[in-house]
Amino acid sequence: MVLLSVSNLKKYFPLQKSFIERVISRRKQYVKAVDGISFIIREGEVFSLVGESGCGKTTTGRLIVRLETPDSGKIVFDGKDITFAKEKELRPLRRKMQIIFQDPYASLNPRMTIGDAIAEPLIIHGIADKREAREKALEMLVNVGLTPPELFYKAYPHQLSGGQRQRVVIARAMILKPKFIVADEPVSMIDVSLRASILKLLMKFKKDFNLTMLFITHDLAVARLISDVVAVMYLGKIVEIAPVDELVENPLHPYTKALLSSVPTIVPQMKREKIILKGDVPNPINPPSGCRLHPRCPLAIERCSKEEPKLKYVGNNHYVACHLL
Amino acid sequence: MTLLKINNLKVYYYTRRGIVKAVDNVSLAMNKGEMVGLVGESGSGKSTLGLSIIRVLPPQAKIISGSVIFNGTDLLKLSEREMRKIRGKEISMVFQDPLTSLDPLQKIGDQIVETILEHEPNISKQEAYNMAKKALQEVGIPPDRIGNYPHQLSGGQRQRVMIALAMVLKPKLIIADEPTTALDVIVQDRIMELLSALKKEYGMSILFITHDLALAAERSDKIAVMYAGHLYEYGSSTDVVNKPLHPYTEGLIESIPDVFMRKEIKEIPGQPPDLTKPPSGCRFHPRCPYRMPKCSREEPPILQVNGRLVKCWLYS
Repeated sequence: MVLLSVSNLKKYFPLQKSFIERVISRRKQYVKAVDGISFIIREGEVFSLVGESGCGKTTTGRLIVRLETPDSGKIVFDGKDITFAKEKELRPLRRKMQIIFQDPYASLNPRMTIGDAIAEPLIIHGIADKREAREKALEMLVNVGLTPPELFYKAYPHQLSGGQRQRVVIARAMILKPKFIVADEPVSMIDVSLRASILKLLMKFKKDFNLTMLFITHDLAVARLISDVVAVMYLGKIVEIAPVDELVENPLHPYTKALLSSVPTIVPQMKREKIILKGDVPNPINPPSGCRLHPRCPLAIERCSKEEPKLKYVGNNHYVACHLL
Repeated sequence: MTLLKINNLKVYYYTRRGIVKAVDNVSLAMNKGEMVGLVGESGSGKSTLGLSIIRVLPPQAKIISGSVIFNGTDLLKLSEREMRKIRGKEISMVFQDPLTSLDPLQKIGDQIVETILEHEPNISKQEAYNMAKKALQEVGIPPDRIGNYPHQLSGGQRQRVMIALAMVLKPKLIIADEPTTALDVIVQDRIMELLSALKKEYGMSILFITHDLALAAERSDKIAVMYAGHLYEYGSSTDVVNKPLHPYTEGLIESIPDVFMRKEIKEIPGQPPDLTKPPSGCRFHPRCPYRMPKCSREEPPILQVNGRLVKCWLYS
């Protein structure tokens, strides 16, 4: 069953200009952060958005939980169109969808105990009274591996390590038993030896609660581990979507191939042909015409600069936006 | 041929919380023309070790004992004036964040010229300018960018400028401390390609400091693994990755996912220790699945096992 469907979603951010610039030029400029993307996420699935910084993956996550309002397009969550839902309509939805941010240091109130931070959503949503909320928070602390729970309940964020804080953030997101979580780079600020435990924790919640997840990451190795389906983004567009094994074993878009041939691995013999892209990622204010990769793509043909490729179905649940296919 | 030999180096930080034994009795030798990946998590002492070699430690850090023999001379015995002649010319450093290492108010070409003239007063300004141009070209910065300021460049380009700055005088050793951590994966790959090319072309040795074991393994000839201020394993990259000897190295490899291999990941239980009160004996023992009673009592010696160095009681 489809839990989330996103179609032709767009978000442009107006560029900040100085007073003089505004006087000289009337034309408003925009950063096209997300520029017409579509995908669906099925219940119980981990769907990863991968791409380099600035590709629009974080904005997509924020649009879906409606921390940002889209410019156009459609977001349907659990059968409800939430594209332009008002704050009041969003509140009951927040019980069902939660977000975990990258920086566990910035996501917790330094003056609130860990336990109160985890219990707070229950009280805000009127699900439990103070005593019940405390009980549930203690239970959740055990669930995320922060034991003895009584000790952690009373602790403040500064007393915890980065990995422990991220567990608290996960506990707080999970306490409402949401159906859906957006996890935005949840392990990229965590020490290497502790990343595994955070990833395993998320995988445990997925299994135990049939949790659906939009997982945002720049790390393809992490995406391989945790995802069922992966979408690759480049400059505000999705260029390829496929089940994770299919994507890694049979990448079709030149950008995906370039990404995969750049990822460090301890099994280098598994690496495929190297695709070298020219230059750097262009400015998203004036993205290239046609296929956005064309100025950098070694395989570009004339059509690529003129016509934007659409996502095409190529079998095996695999979609690619490239004129060469 | 040995280029750098670090012997029993101890570097401690004197903080309000107490003495942090960041590098504690570490020995490491590096050959000419070799890339050594120094791998560890934050707080393992890997950066401190790098900074100690060229003696640019923060004021609260102190080199307690040991020696750093570079090309036959003990760098720790040199005066600051003598050391200045070595930095940039014989040994140079590339840091993680090029924005804090480059002067924002100076054109990139001028910064390179300045470095050249500092070390080679006999070179004319014009000559230095040509050298700068050539260095930038070599790292893949188009020559018309020489008059640009750092803010006009992308992150990857800035790191290239840093590398141009580090290699322009053809040093024997480049210490690269997380040079690609702030960069995207495609750019990272190119920067690593560039470092490998410098190694090949000029026979430079590179000490590549990173938290990314896979990246180190892919590019380095040898890998040194640090944990909590100690060096626990040192050997050829393929050996270390394919058949880790130390339980920490093994745990690290098992804990990282890999894009080309579907595998289960296993976490290393516990947390890295607080280095003001490091665990007794082997510093990894509280997290080690193979620990024996001896491990918490006595610090293991460094043993030679199949051409590899490993600091673990399992092999004695």
